[in-house]
Amino acid sequence: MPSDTEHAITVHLDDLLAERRMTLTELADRIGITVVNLSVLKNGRARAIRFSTLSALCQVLECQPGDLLRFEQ
Amino acid sequence: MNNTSGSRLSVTSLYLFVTVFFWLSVLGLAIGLPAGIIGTATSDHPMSIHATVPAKTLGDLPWRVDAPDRVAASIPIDHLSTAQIVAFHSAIALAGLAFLFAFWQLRQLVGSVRAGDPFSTDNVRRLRILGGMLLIGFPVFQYVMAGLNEWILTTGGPDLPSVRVDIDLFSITALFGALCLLVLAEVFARGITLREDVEATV
Repeated sequence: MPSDTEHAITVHLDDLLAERRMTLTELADRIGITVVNLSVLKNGRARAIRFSTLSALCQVLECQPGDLLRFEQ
Repeated sequence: MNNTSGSRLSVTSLYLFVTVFFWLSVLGLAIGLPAGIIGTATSDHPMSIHATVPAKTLGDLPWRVDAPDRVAASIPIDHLSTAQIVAFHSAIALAGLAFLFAFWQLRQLVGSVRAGDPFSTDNVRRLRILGGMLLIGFPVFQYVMAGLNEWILTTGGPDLPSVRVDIDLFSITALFGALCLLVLAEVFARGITLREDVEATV
């Protein structure tokens, strides 16, 4: 069983932002969380993501959770 | 006044109390120890040892008055060698320093609560140190002091039959206090993990 800090989930926020020509600041404004927190998620330093944050991201980016998160061995 | 400011006031009061008590203890040790050394080295009756004697040696008790087998007694000591003075006061000095160290840890801990950041690895270490000192240091001190008292009693005390220095190695209060501190340390350690999780949740 992996420890609390180890996981194999990668966040593909960069790709989605580039495809939609959107900045991190703009996304942060639209979903209502701070740029710092969004950077933590983008850079893979987050340990957990709230369903409310995930829902807001999917709504604004018009995508599915699977487009944002991937499991990579 | 809301609960937060009330709590903050009580933590500040506690911090001030611990700080004042710490510095009074430093002063007490700084004055009391040299005074004790001078007193025992120069006095005709340098010290008394707390021991127990058989109750029957106290003489006949009034009708219907019962006494336990052994009763506490304060035995006057008339002669102390230099080695005994040095050993006794070294033990007192070491115990005093250990007490001051423990109290300083407690002061730092209360200080971190006052600063609003109690869930730190430093505080986990402090609580473990305090718990460990109470769990191991207290009985060790009791054992050492009992040994010293026995030594002083047999060489410098009056020739009393069946006099004995009793050792109270396992104080239930100290044991319970130590366990509380060690459990609290683990609660703090878990609290740190939970806080880190919350901080890394987006």
